[in-house]
Amino acid sequence: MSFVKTGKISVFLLFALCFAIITFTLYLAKKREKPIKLRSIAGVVAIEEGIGRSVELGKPFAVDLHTSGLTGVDGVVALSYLSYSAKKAALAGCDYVVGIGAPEVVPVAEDIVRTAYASGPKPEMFNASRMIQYISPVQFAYTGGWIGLVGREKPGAILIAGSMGAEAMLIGEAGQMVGSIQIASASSITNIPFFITSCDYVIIGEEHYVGAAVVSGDRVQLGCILGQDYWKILTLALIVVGALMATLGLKDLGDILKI
Amino acid sequence: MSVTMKKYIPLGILSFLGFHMIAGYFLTVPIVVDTAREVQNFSAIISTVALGFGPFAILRQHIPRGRKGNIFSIVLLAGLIGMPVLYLITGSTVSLPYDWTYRSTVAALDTAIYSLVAYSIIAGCFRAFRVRNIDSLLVMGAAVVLLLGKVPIGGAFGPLSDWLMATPNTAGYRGVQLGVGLGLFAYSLRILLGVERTWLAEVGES
Repeated sequence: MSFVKTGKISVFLLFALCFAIITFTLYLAKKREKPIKLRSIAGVVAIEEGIGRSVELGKPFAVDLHTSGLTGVDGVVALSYLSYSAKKAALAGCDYVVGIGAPEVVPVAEDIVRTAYASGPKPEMFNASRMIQYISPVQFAYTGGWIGLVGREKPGAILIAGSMGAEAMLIGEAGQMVGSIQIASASSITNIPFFITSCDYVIIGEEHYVGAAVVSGDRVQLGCILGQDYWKILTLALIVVGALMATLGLKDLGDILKI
Repeated sequence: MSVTMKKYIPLGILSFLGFHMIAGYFLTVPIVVDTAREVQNFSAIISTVALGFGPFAILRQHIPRGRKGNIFSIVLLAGLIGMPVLYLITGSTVSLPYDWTYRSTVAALDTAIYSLVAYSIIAGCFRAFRVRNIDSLLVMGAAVVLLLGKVPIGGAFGPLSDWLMATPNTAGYRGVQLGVGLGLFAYSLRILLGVERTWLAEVGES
């Protein structure tokens, strides 16, 4: 009797292999003394530029967490960006506003922003009722609230970090109308075209997750990206082998992956 | 609160439950599968309880303090308090006063905002399709072919439009999806192993 469910054996083995590769690169990164260098992600660099612009204009830096909750990975990734931008805004003495659509995120986001300002030069700037704006968990109610918030606050720069659906274009246009620099981070393929047309910088697909490691500045996390790349090379090799075998009429690889 | 209570114990619980869920997905061991299902039910309960934060957060930020946009706060608070009061008076969500209020306010505003997407897309198209370099020329060319392929003008652009969607578009789509899948896996692993902690307000610490 197998301990692994039928039909999931090959996926389990691939999962175990991927886990081993990434964990091994994490270990190597921890042992490594030299810093790990990655190519810079324009959108991540632009977060600091956006905060600088907001300070110069005397306007707030706004973050849209959207309706992403804590039950999905995208919601947690958004908190990483929130944490990074709040820390930078606090250091620069920049005003800060966060739009939130998931109620469970409110105390977490408040704690992150409070901690960032408490460790900055002006802890008195933190004002929970103004900076942490809970809007609505309903898609278009949130969108309406966000458009209103952007119209009133006129932020110098906006970071769009939550995952969204059809309202992506409206969210992007709201910032365009008030002349904000907009940085969007999106993993959803359906959001990317909308953000490309309405935002100045877009952190696309895989960069959405890699950017979260980059903003941490932690070399162990950066080492994880190396493991991710090794796994990507293996996956691409598997795709090439599979395509060649299918072209030759061999279906063995497909059969193995169905086990 | 000590660092152990605030950081290490929550991270330990998170790692244990995360790996437990993965084991529940792959393994056939009944105790693992059953308890993983129970944990999923807990997450639904926690999300429901967390909804309670919503009204408190709204009250805190919208109680009038003489700043810009106060009138909107008053409308919002009237809705927040008025709808439950209406429900308590009528005793039903399908009663005429409650249903009429919902349809005339929430549903109407929802539909109105959704309809604005069309105007936003036109504004976005105007910016995206302005030819400034070779890349934008390619984008505009592809968009024109796709638009002509979808209108009834004899189907001349139909095959080219279908090819654009099925071949270059799908190739790009799958490339992004592959990267997203790997990124998602690696990020999840970083959280489960306690390496990724920026979401715990610890920027730059390891």
